[in-house]
Amino acid sequence: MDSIAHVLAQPTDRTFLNRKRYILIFTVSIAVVIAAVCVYLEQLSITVSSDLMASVNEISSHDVESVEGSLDNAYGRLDSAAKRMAVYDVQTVQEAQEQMNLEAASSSMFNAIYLLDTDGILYSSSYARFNAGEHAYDEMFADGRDNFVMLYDDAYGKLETTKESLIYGVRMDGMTIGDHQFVAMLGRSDLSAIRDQLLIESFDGQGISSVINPAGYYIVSAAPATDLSGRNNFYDLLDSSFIEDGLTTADVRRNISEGRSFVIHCVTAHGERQVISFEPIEGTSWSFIMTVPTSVFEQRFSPFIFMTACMLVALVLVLIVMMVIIYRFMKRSIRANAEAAARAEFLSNMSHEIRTPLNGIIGLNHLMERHLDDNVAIAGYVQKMNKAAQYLLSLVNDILDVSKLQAGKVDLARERFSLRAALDNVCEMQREPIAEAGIKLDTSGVDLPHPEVIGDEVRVSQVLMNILSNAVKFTPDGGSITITADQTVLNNSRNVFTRISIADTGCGMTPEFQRQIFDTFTQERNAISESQKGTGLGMSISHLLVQQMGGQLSVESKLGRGSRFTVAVALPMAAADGRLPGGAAANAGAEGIKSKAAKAASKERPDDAARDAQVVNAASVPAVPGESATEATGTAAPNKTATEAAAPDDRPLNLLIAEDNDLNADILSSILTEEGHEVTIATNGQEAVDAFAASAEGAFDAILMDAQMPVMDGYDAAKAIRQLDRADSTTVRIFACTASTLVEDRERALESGMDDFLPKPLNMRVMLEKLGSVRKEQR
Amino acid sequence: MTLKEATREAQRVSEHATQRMAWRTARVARRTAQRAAAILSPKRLGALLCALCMAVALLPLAACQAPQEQAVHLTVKVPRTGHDVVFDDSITQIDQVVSRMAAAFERDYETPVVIDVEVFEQNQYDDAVVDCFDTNNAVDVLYGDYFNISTYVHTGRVVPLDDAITDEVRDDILGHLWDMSTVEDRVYLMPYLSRQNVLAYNKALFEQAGLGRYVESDSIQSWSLDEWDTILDTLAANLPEATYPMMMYAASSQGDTHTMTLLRAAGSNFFDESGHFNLSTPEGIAGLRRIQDGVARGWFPPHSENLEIEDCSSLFQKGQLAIYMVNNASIDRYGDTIGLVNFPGPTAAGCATTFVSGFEVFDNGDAQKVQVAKDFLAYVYANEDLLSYAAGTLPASSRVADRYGSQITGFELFASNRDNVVDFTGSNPDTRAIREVFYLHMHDLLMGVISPEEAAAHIDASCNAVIDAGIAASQLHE
Repeated sequence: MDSIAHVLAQPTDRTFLNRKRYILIFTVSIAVVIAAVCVYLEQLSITVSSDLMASVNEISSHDVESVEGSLDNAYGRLDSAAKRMAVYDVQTVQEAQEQMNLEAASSSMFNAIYLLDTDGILYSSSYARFNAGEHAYDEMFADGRDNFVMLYDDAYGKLETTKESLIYGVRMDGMTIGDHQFVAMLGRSDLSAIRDQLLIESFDGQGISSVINPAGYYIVSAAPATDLSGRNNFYDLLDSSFIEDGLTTADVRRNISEGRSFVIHCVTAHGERQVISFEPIEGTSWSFIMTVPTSVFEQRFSPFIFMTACMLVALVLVLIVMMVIIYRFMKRSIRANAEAAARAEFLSNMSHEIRTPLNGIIGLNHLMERHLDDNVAIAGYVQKMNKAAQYLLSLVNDILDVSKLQAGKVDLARERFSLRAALDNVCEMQREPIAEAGIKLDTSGVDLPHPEVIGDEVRVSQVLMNILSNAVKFTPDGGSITITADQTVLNNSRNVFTRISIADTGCGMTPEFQRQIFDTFTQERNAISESQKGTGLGMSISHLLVQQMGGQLSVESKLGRGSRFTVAVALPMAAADGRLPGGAAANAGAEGIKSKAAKAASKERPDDAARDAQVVNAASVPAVPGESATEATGTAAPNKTATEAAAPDDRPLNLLIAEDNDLNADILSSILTEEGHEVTIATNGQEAVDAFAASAEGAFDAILMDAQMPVMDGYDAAKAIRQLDRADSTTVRIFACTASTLVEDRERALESGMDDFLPKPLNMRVMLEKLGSVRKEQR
Repeated sequence: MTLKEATREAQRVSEHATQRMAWRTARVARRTAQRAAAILSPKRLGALLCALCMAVALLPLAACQAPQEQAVHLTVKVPRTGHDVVFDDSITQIDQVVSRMAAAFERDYETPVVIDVEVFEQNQYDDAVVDCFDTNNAVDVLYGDYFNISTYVHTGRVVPLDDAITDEVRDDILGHLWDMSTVEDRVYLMPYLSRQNVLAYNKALFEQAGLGRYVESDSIQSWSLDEWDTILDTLAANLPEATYPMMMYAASSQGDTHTMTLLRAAGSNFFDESGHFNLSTPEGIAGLRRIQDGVARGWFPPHSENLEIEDCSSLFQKGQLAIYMVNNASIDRYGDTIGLVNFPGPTAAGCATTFVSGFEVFDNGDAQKVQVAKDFLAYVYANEDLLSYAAGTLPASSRVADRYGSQITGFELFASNRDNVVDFTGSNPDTRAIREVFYLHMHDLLMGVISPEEAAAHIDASCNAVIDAGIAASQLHE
């Protein structure tokens, strides 16, 4: 039995370790998931950004091609106009200007056309003439290029307009009119006229394309100026922004002037983050700019984030659920394994525990057979056999108690009793072993000013007995046991809070065992307890009982120093008139625990009755100094006590016994016969019915009816007897004698017409008392 | 400067400094936030938090200067227009003047008010006004030239300003300007300044062409039709190559009011009594014919129908055009190289036109804004200092004219020519729509594809249709 606790204790430690391991694994898993998510999002962001940047570059390239195409178109148109001028029949420059006037008027692109002669004079289609000193547009051909385009800037010479314009130029092959040789034709286009065809929006209008010249003035922009005085400058805009990566406006200006393609990230004065891509336009000094707010990237990125987040949440939830399921499964599996192991260990120990006394009984039986003639030896064997049987019975009772308590099937009595008397009686019951061990029992600390309470005296006594007997059991010779008790009347209540402590100087308990002491089948293995016998259920039963009373059983202990068990429970104080608080008459007085034996035997629940009887019987042992426990219990063999119980009236009864088990029938028959009763045996219910029916009226005083029998069970037999048409069929006392001791078994017996219930193994004294009461009733 | 003025100036400077400090503090916080936003990334979250803390710490410093009461927000829109002031060389654009008005009003108005002065391009009136109706950028106060902004009076959104005009102001502003600002007896526009348009001739070219006898200085001359014919024919005959007698253009609507004025040369009043175009009269047709004949007589540059007014301006500035239009604000650039003369007709004294510029207030559904906008104009017109910024051209205020007239180039000349000013708007509620159709007929006339009679009929028909449509659609503010 001791090993059970050991076995049960191991899984707890393992569970604790496993839990830590699981937490570690879970934490690491979460960390890995988070790291993976971060890496994934980073990679996703990079991928989306790369994709968008590719789009930006693609759009930029497309727009640049569009701008370049538009410029080529302008060059082509201007070149065509120049070639037409060569074939027109114009003799003077003025005629040429008139012709250019018509060319410009018919052109959808040019607002004005100019001819540049070798002297640097610019002749306009509006007839204005700009001398070489008034302009510098001829410098645009200085590098030998065949054409140029520039944003109109009066720094190069103020022309007719102040509107934002583009100036195109194409080199001519030296057209001569009069004395003038013309080397180039220029065209002026109102920028607003071509801006729309150059302005390309992208990314749902959020991406803005623009074109600037090296000075930063816009050729194309979303918010264009129409007049030179109203033009905006890109670099001014950039100056008011913050450029990331340590770049400055000067860096941007230099990159543009060097014709580089590059990208910058900046935050505008309004706090908008932008990605700006720069692309040189071939054949010009312009730079194409694609400005895309980073919010575009975020908008494109956010669905991925959302989907990923949803997926991850779902994944994590699934993982958590799976881990919880696995954890619980493993935990349950471990517990199940532990319980299975404990059960196996328990069964093994139970087998051992049962076989040991059985072995003793068998051995004693053998010895008795060999010493039938030696009455002294027989008496000794019988006494030892009784001890073994009692142990077996207590083992079975304890198991049943735990089972019922755990199932909540124990109903506590609400009767008036004296706590003081109960405690005294418990002490009295342990007086002998205490004395034998030379243990000093100190009860001076018991202070119970309100001893009369309402409760279950038997169960309270059982708890105290368990604690005290354990204290005695584990306290070495010469040790001491101190019992203290105090009471406090609870405010605004008729309840009294009672605390009873039993402290010993025994072996004590380890802290680990203290945590398990109230678990079932636990007993600490140590040098002292090794020699102790017990089911290991006593403390569990006590704990469950106190809990059911609404109290608490606690323990303080130090290994090698001793233990202190404290029962703390609030019980209603008994009224002075002896009535229960609820108004029901108290059916118990202060007559003392000894008088409870009969009551215990007559309890509604047969198992309780059996337990009560046993406790009371055990309690009665010290009350008869010099008598052995065997004599007191009176269960193994006919004894004086049992005989004395029937003594007040020794008129023999005529009893009908229905018992299918021959041995039990013989034993019962022998005991009752020895008590002087007349016995008739029926081996099944039908025989019992027949025997009763065949007897004369009033022939049988009582019937002891087994429940489970062949042919007809006891319940049906009782019913049949009650239904017989004879006067004694309803009056004859029928006792159920059965090993089925559950409440429903008792209820079923009573419903079938039986009068009382005697659980097996039979408490002979109780049985004889009940038979005695039959005799009294008849009298 | 009086002690009171000095005290006020000191107070203004102090407030300005305080505002600048608050603005700088806010700017520091804003730029800090921008930098934080710039480096916002998972890697730089810590920096963001620091920056946010800093911004939060600095914002209260800025906020302590912020008005406690909810400020009224006004949007004032101004077209990009050059402007000079005789006493302040720093002023080059009219929006600078309006901004000063706004700052002064913000400072002095009893209720917190914030005024945004927004500049738009001259050809984007509708973008700035009509397209912004019922948006957050709706105009509350519009400054502009009457022939552009008078159109909006008929949208029903421009509020009458009579209740904002004190008797003192009413007396101070020149009477003929009130007439131009009044529709159905209610004043919808507040005149601020005007420019008088007359013709100018290049004295050197006149001398060169043998027309020295017509050259005068310090006067706005008036020539009879015969004199005009003589002068133009002489110029056509005598000017050197690539030099032309007189401006003419019809490539766009720009400058069309001057062309319209030229049509009065033969005695036409241009409009009938109801304010409708009335060129289909002998005088009107004669005026058109003079122009068409002028093409053949070499009065204008060849194919002038393809020219813009700015082309003619360029020619005039380069000495390639003998006669061009100027106004009192632009004559400074020419100095004594030009002489001034009224447009021909309809009387012997000839005529001139006036461009009036001023304000109008829009009702965008917020009565408080409307009231504050009116208070803004009342404040400006009660403040002689602010009115004085019109002193670069012809101020609407008599007081300002009296104070600065002597410093304004040609002020006396143009003031004395005020009686010859003719109205070029008539009763037209949508001048800008008229402009879109008128020049097309002039273009055809100059090309010779239509006769003067046809041109008169086309102009009357199309322009009067626009006027009638404008009148039908007209909705004055209730």
